[in-house]
Amino acid sequence: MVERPAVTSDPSVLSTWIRIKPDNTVAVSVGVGDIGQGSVATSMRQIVAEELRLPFEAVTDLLTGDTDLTPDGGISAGVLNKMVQINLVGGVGVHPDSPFGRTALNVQKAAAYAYQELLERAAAVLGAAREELTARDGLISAGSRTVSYADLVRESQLEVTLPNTGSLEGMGLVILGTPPVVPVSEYRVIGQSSPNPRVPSIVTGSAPWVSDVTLPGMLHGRLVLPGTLGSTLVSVGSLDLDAFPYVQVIVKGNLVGVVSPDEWEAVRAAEALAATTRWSEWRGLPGSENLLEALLDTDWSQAPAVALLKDEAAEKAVEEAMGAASQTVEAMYALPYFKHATIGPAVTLADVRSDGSTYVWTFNQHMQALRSKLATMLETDVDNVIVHFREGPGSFGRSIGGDGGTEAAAVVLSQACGRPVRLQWMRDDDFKWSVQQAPYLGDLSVGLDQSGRMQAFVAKHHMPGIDDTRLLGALLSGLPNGGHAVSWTDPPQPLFLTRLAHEWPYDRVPYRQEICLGAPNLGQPQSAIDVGLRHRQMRSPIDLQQTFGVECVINEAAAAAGADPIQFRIDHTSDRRLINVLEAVREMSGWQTRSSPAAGARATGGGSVTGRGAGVALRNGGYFASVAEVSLDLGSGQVTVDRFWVAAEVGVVVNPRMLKLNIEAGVVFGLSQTLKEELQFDHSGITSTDFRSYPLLTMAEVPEIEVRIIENKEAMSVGQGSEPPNMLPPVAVAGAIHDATGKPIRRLPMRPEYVLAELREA
Amino acid sequence: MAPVVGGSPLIQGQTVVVNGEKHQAHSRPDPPLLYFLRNELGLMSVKFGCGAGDCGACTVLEDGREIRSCQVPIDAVTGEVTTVEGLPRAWAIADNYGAAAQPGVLHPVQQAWIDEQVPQCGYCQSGMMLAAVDLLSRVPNPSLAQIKQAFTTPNPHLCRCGTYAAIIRAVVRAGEGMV
Repeated sequence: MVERPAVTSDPSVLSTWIRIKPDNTVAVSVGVGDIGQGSVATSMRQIVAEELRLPFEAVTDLLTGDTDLTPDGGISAGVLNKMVQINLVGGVGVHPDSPFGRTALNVQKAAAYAYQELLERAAAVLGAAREELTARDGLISAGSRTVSYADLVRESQLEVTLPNTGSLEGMGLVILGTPPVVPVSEYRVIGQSSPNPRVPSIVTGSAPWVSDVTLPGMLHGRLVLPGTLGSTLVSVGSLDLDAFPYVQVIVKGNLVGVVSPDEWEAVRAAEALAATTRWSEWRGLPGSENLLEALLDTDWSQAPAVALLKDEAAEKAVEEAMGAASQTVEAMYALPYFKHATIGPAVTLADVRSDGSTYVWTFNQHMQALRSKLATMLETDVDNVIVHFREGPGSFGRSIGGDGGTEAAAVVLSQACGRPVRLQWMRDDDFKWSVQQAPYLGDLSVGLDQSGRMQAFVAKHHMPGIDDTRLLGALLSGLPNGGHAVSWTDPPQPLFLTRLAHEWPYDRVPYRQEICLGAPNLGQPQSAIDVGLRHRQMRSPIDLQQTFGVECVINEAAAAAGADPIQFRIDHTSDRRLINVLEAVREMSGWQTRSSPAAGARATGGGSVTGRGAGVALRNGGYFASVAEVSLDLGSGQVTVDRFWVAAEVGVVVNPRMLKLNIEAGVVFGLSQTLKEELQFDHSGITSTDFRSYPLLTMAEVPEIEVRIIENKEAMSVGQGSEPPNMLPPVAVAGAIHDATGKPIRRLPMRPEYVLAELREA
Repeated sequence: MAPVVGGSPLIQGQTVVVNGEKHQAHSRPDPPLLYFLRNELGLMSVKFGCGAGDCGACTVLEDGREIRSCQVPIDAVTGEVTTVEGLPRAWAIADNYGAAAQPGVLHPVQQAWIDEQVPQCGYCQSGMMLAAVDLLSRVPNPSLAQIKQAFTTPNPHLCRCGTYAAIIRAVVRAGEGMV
């Protein structure tokens, strides 16, 4: 029997979510951890403080991502977002008076229910009608009589029953009902730039990171991973026990690991063991230099296509409109595999105890899914697996679905040696064996009429894979990988299904068809260990890829129409929110209204040319418009982004400073994808093994970034800006190069050699 | 009989001064400084990033100059090592134990990181702050170009979350607070 802490985790009990402490401060529990952007660490506190009429500082405790103690599960992504709740759980639980969704809405409702209960108790204690009560700073008053929240819970915590529904290991539980909530127009704490309470612990070195958790008797683990992404183990190498006296070698199927009480010994032993361990040969990948050809050669009929228009007559009307166009723009766009490229490699501490319980400490965006999958792997009940979230290096979607890379392998090693094992990947393990964002191939065309207006728009988006969330350690050790094994959605989707992820704001284009085509992971069908290039969503997943195609072809269509790219967008939409951000970014950037390419644009003759480009990104109810000012050295192909402007309207702004920081950071992330990032692989495996072969943007390459936030309380939505600002730079920078040279750039990254090749080709 | 930590007999080794205190390294043969600081001294602000000196997450100061602790064998350390945990002490010394020596007073670089709310995930920020301390000790009011250069060459300090703009503002603010 597993020992259980004496705290209820029953999600239908209010005090599981929110507790008033004796000093009148508040503790809150949520199932997801903060992954860096502050939406959990800061915004949840603001929301609770708002509903309980408390200052921000009164929400002192925030417990996150503990499968025993936190109530709702779910995924660490879009945790504030109403549109995500509408799109992914059919709007169940959405509150008409709340701009929030998902974790934030749960927390808001829990606090709202708590407030109602406190009022009711206060009315009884003070002998006053509820209408006579006022609440402020944790005190409820009726005239001169006052009682504190703490006094009201002294006898019993807030044992109110909360109706809820949903799946812990999927999108998480949803609190039902519509308790009265503070109207958006009366927010006091929401809308303030409250400081992130995690920051002081980070800057003083006291933050509890997953990499820093230790247990008595703990061993350090390292893996000897297969020679290729399709290899099986032929023979385990040998270790000189004089050189490595404290090392134990553990083998389970194709999982080979070492454990030692000394971390450095484990590191060196894994290296030594790898040198003599033999793996079968495998060559099942096309090689990254042949990626485009491989995507063109892929059989895209293996998965059902997802089409915007399913009606044949409607589809035919689009074709006819395209046929009747006086000018068409057709182009193919391609994006490489992107890596999440966390700054620290994956690490998990696992403790499989003799009583059959398994404790795991990890940095994961989907704790309950991980718990469920580990239970399946161990063929035990989920109650015997306890997963604790600890902060880790920002991972941007890499562990959604529960597999962050090392969890299952750490459990296998701990089970084998009977000790707690802290398993850490080395840098090259992390690059070679972690998941990646799938590549993209888009065929897009726009039909323009005689006056240069878009009449027809057709897109075919090709993208293999979506969410291969199987536990890597289970795959390698040949253990069961069931439950929500292949996808985090309810119900689970096949690995290779894709979807229409981008939002289309150009409602004044009369005819449009878009088709999304999926395929299996490259290499997976051929891999003896069923691995290949595993895919997982990454920051603005699928959306970034489809938006690159859509927004780039719109820039090209504007050019073909001789129109200004910002005005061209405004002319094709009636969406006021989009027009507002476009007009704002035009004004901020001192944009000169003119057609693109610029007069005097040139791609030859050496020297440097400059240009400007624009693009928009819409996601989950947030609107973003951007402009890039770019220079290009025609001799070397070097692209330099000099300035970048963003205008953002996300509806209700929860924390203006955090939103601005998130937008800036997202732009930097997107610039990194635009200018530098591309996964390299040969026929056997990944050859981007470090930050030299998978370079990230450096500080020297960061442009001046200016952000303007437009508040719109009527929109009844919120965003914290972690997504989608990374979608902006690929489009705006490509537009700027087109403006400067007259040649479109249709693939990323814009490394000098590719830019030169594209300028020669086009 | 050698002392045992975590089941492993330890070898008496190099003496290193860290954050003002002398320590004797006990790790098995010549680990990089990183492993000593984390596993023997429990200085967890020092982070493993790449093990190759490419990212800067493991940066510490040796006699005030930044080094990549994943690249320096423990027996090659001759100067005094400072980690983020030791920054308040270092600032108190710089201030001749004046106001900066009061409990709870952070190094101006740490305070600037709070005031500018720099962290996204924060994993790289120990290295970033120590790079800032090194820079500001050499160049009290650095220009934008000097800041960018200090964090980029010869080996970059990488931030995956993209906090570079906030870091630049924090370095400028810290520089103003140190004069």
